[in-house]
Parts: sequence; structure tokens; C-alpha cells
Amino acid sequence: MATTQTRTRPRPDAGRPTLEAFPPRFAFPRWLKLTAIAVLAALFLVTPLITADARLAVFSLCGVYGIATMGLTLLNGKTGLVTMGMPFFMAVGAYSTAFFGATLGLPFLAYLLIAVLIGAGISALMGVLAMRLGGDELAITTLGLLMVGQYLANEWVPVTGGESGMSVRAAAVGIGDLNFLALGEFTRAQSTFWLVWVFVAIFAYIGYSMAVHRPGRAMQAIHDSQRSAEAVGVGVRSYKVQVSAVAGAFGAVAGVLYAVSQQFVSPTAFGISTAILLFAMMIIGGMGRISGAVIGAFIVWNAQQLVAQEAQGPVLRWLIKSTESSPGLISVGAFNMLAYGLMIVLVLVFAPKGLTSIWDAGVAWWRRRRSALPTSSS
Amino acid sequence: MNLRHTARVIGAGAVALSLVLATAACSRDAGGSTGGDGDVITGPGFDGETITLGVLGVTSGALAEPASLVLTGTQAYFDQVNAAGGIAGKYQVELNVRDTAYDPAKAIQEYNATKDDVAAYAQIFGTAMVNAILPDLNADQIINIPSSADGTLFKQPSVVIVNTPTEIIGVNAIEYAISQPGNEDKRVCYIAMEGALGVSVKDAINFAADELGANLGVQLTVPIEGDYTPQIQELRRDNCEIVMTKGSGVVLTKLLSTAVQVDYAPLWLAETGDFIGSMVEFPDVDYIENNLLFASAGTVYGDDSAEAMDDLIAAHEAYAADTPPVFLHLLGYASGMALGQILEQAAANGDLSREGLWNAMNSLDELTFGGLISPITWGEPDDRRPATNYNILSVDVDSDGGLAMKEFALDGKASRVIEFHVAN
Repeated sequence: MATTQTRTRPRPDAGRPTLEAFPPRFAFPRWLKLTAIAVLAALFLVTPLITADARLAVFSLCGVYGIATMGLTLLNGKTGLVTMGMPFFMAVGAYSTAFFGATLGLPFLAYLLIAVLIGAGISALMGVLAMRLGGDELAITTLGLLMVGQYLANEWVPVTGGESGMSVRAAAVGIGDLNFLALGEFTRAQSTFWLVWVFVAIFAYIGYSMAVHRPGRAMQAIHDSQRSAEAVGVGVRSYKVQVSAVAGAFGAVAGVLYAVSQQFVSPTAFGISTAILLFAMMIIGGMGRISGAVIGAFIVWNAQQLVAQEAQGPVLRWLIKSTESSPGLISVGAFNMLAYGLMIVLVLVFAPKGLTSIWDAGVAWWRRRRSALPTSSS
Repeated sequence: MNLRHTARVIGAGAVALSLVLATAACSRDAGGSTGGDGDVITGPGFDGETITLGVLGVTSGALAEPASLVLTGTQAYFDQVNAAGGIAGKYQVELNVRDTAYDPAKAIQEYNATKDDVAAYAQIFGTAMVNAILPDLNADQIINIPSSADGTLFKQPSVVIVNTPTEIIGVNAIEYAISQPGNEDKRVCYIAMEGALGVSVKDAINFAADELGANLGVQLTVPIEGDYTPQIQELRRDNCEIVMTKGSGVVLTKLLSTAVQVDYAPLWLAETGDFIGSMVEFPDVDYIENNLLFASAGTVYGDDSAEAMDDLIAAHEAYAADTPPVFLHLLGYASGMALGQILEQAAANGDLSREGLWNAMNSLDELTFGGLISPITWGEPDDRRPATNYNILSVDVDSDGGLAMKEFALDGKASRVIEFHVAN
């Protein structure tokens, strides 16, 4: 009987780690993680040395919004608690800085801690509300919280400065003689960048740790089905309160950093438009992903600034007009709104799970490709 | 672990990082440097050929119309200057326009984004916007011309207030109103748009009431948007027969519309900057022509007695023909004139750096506007004095600018002694 001799093609990746060597689900090798961390650390250190102050100010705000969006991600993306109130907690942080830091002269760590405690405390109360409410009811309730915040910011003049806002320049931002906004010979923009992104790293680690460990699994279970989560022993009520508190703390820290980076706080920075902005950042980056929150914040905020910057440039000049009588079709403010909305729609159409899903798709393709390769015969 | 594979990945990462850094390299130096081109010292916003001026305006929202009116005036002035060869006959001027959406938070962001690329700010629209960035403007020594007429800004080192401060205008308006026969005991009330400027004028109104012995009534505020019926009813309940207003043209138009609906007709007083082009389309023209007066430091469009009027008309017809030539447009043109005088002086000094512009500004004894607006005594901040004389204008929808001169070159007595609370 004739036999068919099967010629085995040697694997092109002979000698490379096989698919089976990777632990399940996105657990990359240690050396790869360390490389990524090293690259990020290098970017963190070098960026202020080679980037203009104007651009650094934009990057700092990206970081501020990134922290707030991380809080929103934990609450909304991971746990499924829809909230519009994150700007309220930012306002808590910002006005704590203004009042306790600038007006009363408390040191940085003191007013930071006060801001976190107030933000976490109020947010925990919202978590108690979340036990009874869900979905639309909770969203509307938190919208009410936002409005309460706007009222207080506009009317509580001795604390907030009212609708005209309040300078935060007098607030100390440092420990002892170390001023975080004036590190050595570096400019305020450079120092602020480093300060903000240190906090981004810290809170990204906290958020990521929560997401990948037990709390994250509980949050996901609550997100998928509260009843099922309860059935398997997840303390749904307890987690709602805890996650709300953590998210409130994230928002408050973002507010503190916002205040110290802008040196000024006003009610307009913490209204409904900011709530929409944070949602857009979360959705575009990727709901339920801490990395998505940072990526979304970075892309959305930079895109807005880019439009404003290029409105009179050769590409957009034909479209955007600076005055009623100058050439163009729409004002830069109107164009920003249009571009903003289009960006959200396009991302939702082509990448419904956000930009991080593109990375996930790439990794999944690579894993399928690897698993489809024939193994070498013994 | 496959070392060759590892090395490839690390190498790829390093290359990628290097490309990123190389692409971004040298951008830290972008945005302005001080140097010279042989003729004149350059600086941020001036590269030896073109002077770039910033505008932190409002191009969206309820206040886009008044902001645009001012900006078109300024733009028309510099277009005219450019057509004649530019500053000192050789330096063209460009405007870098950004939108703050009348939001102090956004104003800070736009300021940070533009301050290294501009020589000065030809417009910052809104008192709250100016206050938000004022410490930086002073520290960075960046000359700026707010569209605000808040008197608390008048002696700020970096600020050039072209219009007479609103506090002075408010006091002058009340002084005129109660000096008319039969008005001496009429109840004077005040209603203003919410915000810092409204508060500042309110203080001036209280001062005027003491100085002039006016019968002072309620003092109210209104939001930019919303229903003003409650406030109008309250004015009526307090028997207010003279109502001084401060806000924007949008707010004033809404107040008048609401008053017409409830058949309430006091003597309305406002500052000329609150007159906007759309007011000539007001449904009840008789109402505003008979019940509304404006106090102004400036003249009306077409006033032949103003020597710069021909230039203003020519610029308007050449570069802003679609813009109604209301006072705000004239104010914008005058703002351009003020900055133009500073730039010309700096060019004559051979120094268009930040320091050069600063020194040029402080060296001018007077800022003049060819009769369009009263001249201002200038110099170092402590030496600066606003004009206190004023005109009274009434609405005339058939005129080019929508206003007609009613009383000319009146002398404000009470306003001479007014003091401004210095802003933080």
C-alpha cells in the first residue's frame, strides 16, 4: 500500500515562545510589560524637556480629565452605575483647593485629603441611592446632583467666589520647601505636567488593580446582572457604595489637580458640558478599561485643542470663520461641537467598544494566527 | 526566552520612541524668541515681518453677536493699516482668533495655548475672562485690550481700557436722567446681567445715589438666558421710573421685549456698548425710540465732527460692509487704534519685543481716537485717567448706526470723584 508522506513544514517561529506559554487573556510576558513601563517612564521624564509649555498645558489637562474618566469608568463602565455627577466631584476637589488651600492656607496634603474625604463621602451617599435606583433613574438623580453643585458654585460666594470664579494662586502645592509647581529651574508648565502625570500613574495603578482582581470581577458581575451577582454571593450593595466612594475620590483628586494646574476655578468648568466630555472620553477610549479612560481623555482633549489651533490654518480656514464678516461657513465654537459629535459617532460606528478594542482586536488576531500555525512534528 | 526576539522588540520600541522624540524635538523652542532682524528687536508674536495679535473672543453662544461686532471693528482697522503698508509702513498685522465661549475656564486654556505666539491681545471679551487670566497677563507683561469697560481693570498694568469705564458711564447716565426737569424725585433702579461687571456698576450706582441724592430703588440681576418677567414685575412693583441697565445687547433686548409685553415703560438707561445691530429690528420701534437712552463716551457713526470718522467709514465699507456700524463696531475700531499707537511707538523705538511694547505703552501720554471716543490720559498705571465727559444718544432706526446724538459733550460731575475697587 502506498503511503503518503507528509512533509512537515518547519515552523517559521521555531524557538519562539509558543502560544501556550502565555497565561490566559492578555497576560503578556514580564519582559514586555517592563519594556512598556520603561517606555512610558521615559516619555514621562522627557516630554516636558522637549515640548512647548502651551502643549504641556494641554497634556496636563489630558491627565486631569484622565483621572476623572477613570473614576467614571469604574462606576459606569465596570459596575454599570450610570452617573452624570462626576463633574460635581471635580468641583468638590477644585473648590476644596480654592477654599481650604487658597483662602484658609492649609498645606497641600491637608486640602487634598479633605477633598478626597468629602468627594468619597458624598459619592458613597450616592452609592446608597444606587441601591434603590438604576439605569435612567440614577442618571437623572446624579444630574440633579450636578445642578445642586452648579447652584452652590454660583451662589456660595464666600467659599466659591460665585459665578466670577476664584483664583487658586495662593494655594500651596508642595510639601515643606518643595513646590511641585516650581521644580528647580523648570517652568510651571513642566512641573505641572510631572505632578499631574504622577497622579495619573498612581490612580491608573489603583484602578487597574481593582479591575483585574476580585473587586473588578464583582463589579463586572454587578454590571452584567445584579441578581446573578447576588446569587453567587457578591455583596452588591456593599460594592455599589465602595465603588461610588472610590470614584468620588478619583473625581475629587482630578478637581484638585484641575485647580492647581489652571490656578483658577469657576462654575462653568463643572457643568453638564464637562459631564458629556467625560462620557465621550470614556466611550471613545473604551468603556470598562482604565487604559481606555486615559487614551480617550488624551485623544479627545488634544483633538479639541487641535481644532481651535488650526481653525485659521490653511486646512480649516475655508470652513471656519473668525468673525461674522470673514470667509468661512461656521464659527470655531460651532465647529468644535460638530467635530466633537462626529468623533463620538464615528468611534461608536466603527469601534463600538472604543479605541482600546482596536488593540484587543489586534491581539486576538495575533493569538488566532499563532494558534493556527501548524506545530512541528516530533 | 528567545534573546534575539526580545532584543528585536526592545529595539523596535527604542526606535519608535526615538522617532517620537525626534518628531517633537525642538518644539520646546517654538513659540517666540527674542532676537533682532537688524532693524527692530523681535519677540513673541513678531518675527521681523508680521505682528501677530491674539483675540480671546466669543464665536459661539448668546454673546457671539456683540463679540463679533467688536472684533470686526478691530479687524477692519488692521486690514486698513495693512493695506497702507502696515505698522511703521512695513509690518503686517494678523489676528489669531480663539473662542472662549464666554467661559473663564476656557479663557485660561486659550490663553496658555496662545500667549507664546502673540505680541499682545487685541481683544479679550468679557470681564470674567479677563479677571481669570489677569495675574498671568500682568506677570507675563502681555498688553491686552478687554472688551470689558470694568473700571476695576483701568489701572491694571497690562490692561488698556479704551472705553470709559462702565461705572463712570452709569453714574453719568443717572446724573443726566435725574437732572432733567421733573425727574428729580423719580425712583432709580438698577438691573444687570449676572457677573463681575454688574457688581462693579452696582457699587457705582450706590455711590451716585449718595452723591446725587437720587431716590434709589431695587437692584436686580438676570442670567444671560431665561425669562425676565419676574424681574420686570419687581421693577414695576417698586415703582421704578428710571432703570439703569448693564449687561449685553442680548440681555437689554430681552428686558425691553419683556417690558413691552407687560406694558411697563420706564426710562431705560444703558451704556452704548449694549446697543447691538439687531435692535433696529425691534418690533416696537416707538417704544425704544421714546424710552431708551444710551450714555456714551463715543460718537455716532457718521458724525462728521470726528476727524477719524472718514477712516472708520472707509474701513467699514471696505472690510466689514456686512456688519452693522453700531457702537461696538466703532469701539473695536478704536481698540485697534489704541493698539496701533502702541505698536507704532514700539516700532519707532526699534523694539517690538514684549518689553519694547510694554515700555512704548507706558511712554504714551495720551491715547487718542480722532474724535470717535474721548481721549484717555495715559502713561504709567497710576497716571492714567479715564474720560468723564459723555454724550447722550437715542435710538434712531433710520440712521446708519441705529443711534442719534441727543446731547453732546456733557460734563460728568459726580463721576469725577468715583473710585474703583481694584480687582485681584
